Amino acid sequence: MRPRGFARALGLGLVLGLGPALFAGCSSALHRRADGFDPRVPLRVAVLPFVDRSTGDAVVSKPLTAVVDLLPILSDDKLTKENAASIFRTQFAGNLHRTPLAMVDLHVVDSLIDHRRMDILAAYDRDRVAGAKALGGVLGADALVFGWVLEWDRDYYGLESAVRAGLRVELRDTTTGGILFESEVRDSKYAGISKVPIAYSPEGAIQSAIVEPLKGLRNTVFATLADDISRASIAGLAPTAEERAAAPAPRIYFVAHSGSGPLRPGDELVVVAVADPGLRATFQVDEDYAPVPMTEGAPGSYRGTLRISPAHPFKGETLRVRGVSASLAASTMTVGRPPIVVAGIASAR
Amino acid sequence: MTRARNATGAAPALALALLAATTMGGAAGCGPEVVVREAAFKKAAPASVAILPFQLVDDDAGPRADLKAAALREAFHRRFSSLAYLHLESEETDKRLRRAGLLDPKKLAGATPAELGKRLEVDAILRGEVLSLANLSGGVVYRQSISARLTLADARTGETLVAIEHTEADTGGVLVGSGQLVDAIRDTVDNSSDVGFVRLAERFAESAVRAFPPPPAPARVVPPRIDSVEVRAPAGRTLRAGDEIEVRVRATPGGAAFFDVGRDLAEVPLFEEAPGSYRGAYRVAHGDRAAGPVSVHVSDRFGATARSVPPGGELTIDARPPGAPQHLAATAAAAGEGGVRLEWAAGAGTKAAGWRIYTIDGHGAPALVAEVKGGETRARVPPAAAGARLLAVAGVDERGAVGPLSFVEINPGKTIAKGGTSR
Repeated sequence: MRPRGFARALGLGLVLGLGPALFAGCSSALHRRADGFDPRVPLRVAVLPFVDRSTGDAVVSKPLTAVVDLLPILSDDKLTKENAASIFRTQFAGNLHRTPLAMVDLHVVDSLIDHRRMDILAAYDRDRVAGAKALGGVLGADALVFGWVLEWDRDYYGLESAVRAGLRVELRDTTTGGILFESEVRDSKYAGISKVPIAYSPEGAIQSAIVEPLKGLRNTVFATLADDISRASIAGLAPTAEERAAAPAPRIYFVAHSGSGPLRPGDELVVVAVADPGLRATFQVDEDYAPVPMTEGAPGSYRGTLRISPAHPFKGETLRVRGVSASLAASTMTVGRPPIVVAGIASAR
Repeated sequence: MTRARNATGAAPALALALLAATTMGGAAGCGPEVVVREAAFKKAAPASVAILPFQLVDDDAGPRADLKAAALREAFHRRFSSLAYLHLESEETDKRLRRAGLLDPKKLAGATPAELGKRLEVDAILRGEVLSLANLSGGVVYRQSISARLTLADARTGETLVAIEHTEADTGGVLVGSGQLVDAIRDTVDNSSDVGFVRLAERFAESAVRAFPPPPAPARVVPPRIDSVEVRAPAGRTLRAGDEIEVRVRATPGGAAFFDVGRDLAEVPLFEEAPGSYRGAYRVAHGDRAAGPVSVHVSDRFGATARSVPPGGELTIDARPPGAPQHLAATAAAAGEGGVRLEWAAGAGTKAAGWRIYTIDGHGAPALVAEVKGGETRARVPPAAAGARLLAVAGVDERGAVGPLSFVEINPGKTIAKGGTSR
């Protein structure tokens, strides 16, 4: 092999070999879901204020990182007023919206905690089983998220810098106090020489070598890292965007109901559907009425009932069946015939 | 008095300019332009807000622009929920708009704040107009941007209280020489997928919400009140298919209510039959299994929820059919009897009231050939049926629900060892 060819092969080998390592950074994740907990069940979840148990910036980096926060070119004043716990909580709550869990708004949680003068730190530090039960009643939630910031620090090594963050979360049932889901995720982002600074001139190379490690210490890097960690933290509660995109929509083959003639209060509307097995299915009469759960009897055969009451002034409504697969792909089938009509009730709408 | 400001202040803007001058490119996008009508805002700041569906102003916003506008609204909504306003959930907003015939973009655009405020029962209306969505990608350079205008109008006076216009943009790629090669490649890959847009939408929302003035005093959250809960269900036994659970609740009128049994039977709706009087029923179906207390939730339109778990309301539901028979084996019957002898063990789950034995034809369809009582775990299959390729056994409960099959391959006159379970 000629020397030039050898150099190219070596270069290519280095790129192929080191590339994945450089992209991967350093991360770890642990997840555990309680037996029998189906994350498709739309529990109402309140995310408590998180607590910060990190030690902060490494001692040797403290003077430098303090300076970084003051440099206008590097600091992000929109983030300096927030602490790690609140940044993580906001990012985690934002990502929790991607799961089927119904989230209590953060300000509702904060307002109720403040109003009832609840001691959140005590709930963290003492018996969390009892704490979850007590807070569940106050917040009107089926489950609570406790969160601990485990790591939130910055290291500076001249030509290289690193930010590290870690989060542990627990989702606790407010009826039993037990853990439904827990995860612990740590990740880090490096900046500087390891990420191959781009330069098209010697001056640019010097500039990149100096500036990039410093830029890597910005709070926005922390916020992005917190977002990445929050996304990873809910793995197991929701499939990734890629998994969701790849998951086929479940098939619903057939929907029928028993309301072939006018229904009356006390009657039962029975809805059956044939679809792929293993779905979490609901039916809904018109879009204004709450969905009713359906049960899978034989595989792929679903049935649900609604007892007609004075609250159902249906005037020829359509029926919609919705099925959600384990990978959270959803399908609906709407049938307009026969229309669902309830006789003898005046519509209040 | 009207004031205009740049939300991130002068120093970061200068820093951004310096950074752009020195390194070219990278994450771009200045802070939002914000106009707050301070006097009106302070005089009567709204407590409750409805965020309308975002409208597309740019007719040439590219493919799936409507979905992107909806995603931007949701991203904004999520961030906005951290501010101390009461706000309608998107679903509730859309439901009310649909009822009023205002979900059509043109009709919505023509509706006045007063009309919308009345329909949605809120103090203020937040409109979002997506001015442009761009995603230019050239392999080694890309630029993706979201530009939108948000206006908060007082539904009581019709005055615009807050107007925010913001562009969030990402410019990157290897060619622009920004930062570092590895990050530039990764960002380019992200930008070519939906991940890039979602992240940019989140950043847009974050910047816009940070620029949004908080209410002078946080809106007070008052959860609905649950006065009483009555659960009617067969007492002292496990509930089976056909049994009914009825729940009656007295609570604050106008809420959305539902009940759960444990964690497995979730969100059975309760309907408001008269103001403050909610009722719902659930008929146990074959296949149901749930255990735990009955818990009742009542939410107001802003999502504040009261939860009540009545004491002594624990229920156990087990309407699963009997589990698949285990260790199913076939042997040739005695010489004088003919046919095949089957033996099995009861499976998990509900106790079988009887067993059904089927032959399976070449198309997989079962045909019933024999039935035995639940206490038995053996049966003889007549010679005619013994010619089939497969035999199957399933348990049946007292209400006739048939459980999953176990099957065994037979070979007349010879013991077949291989068995399995179908679901």
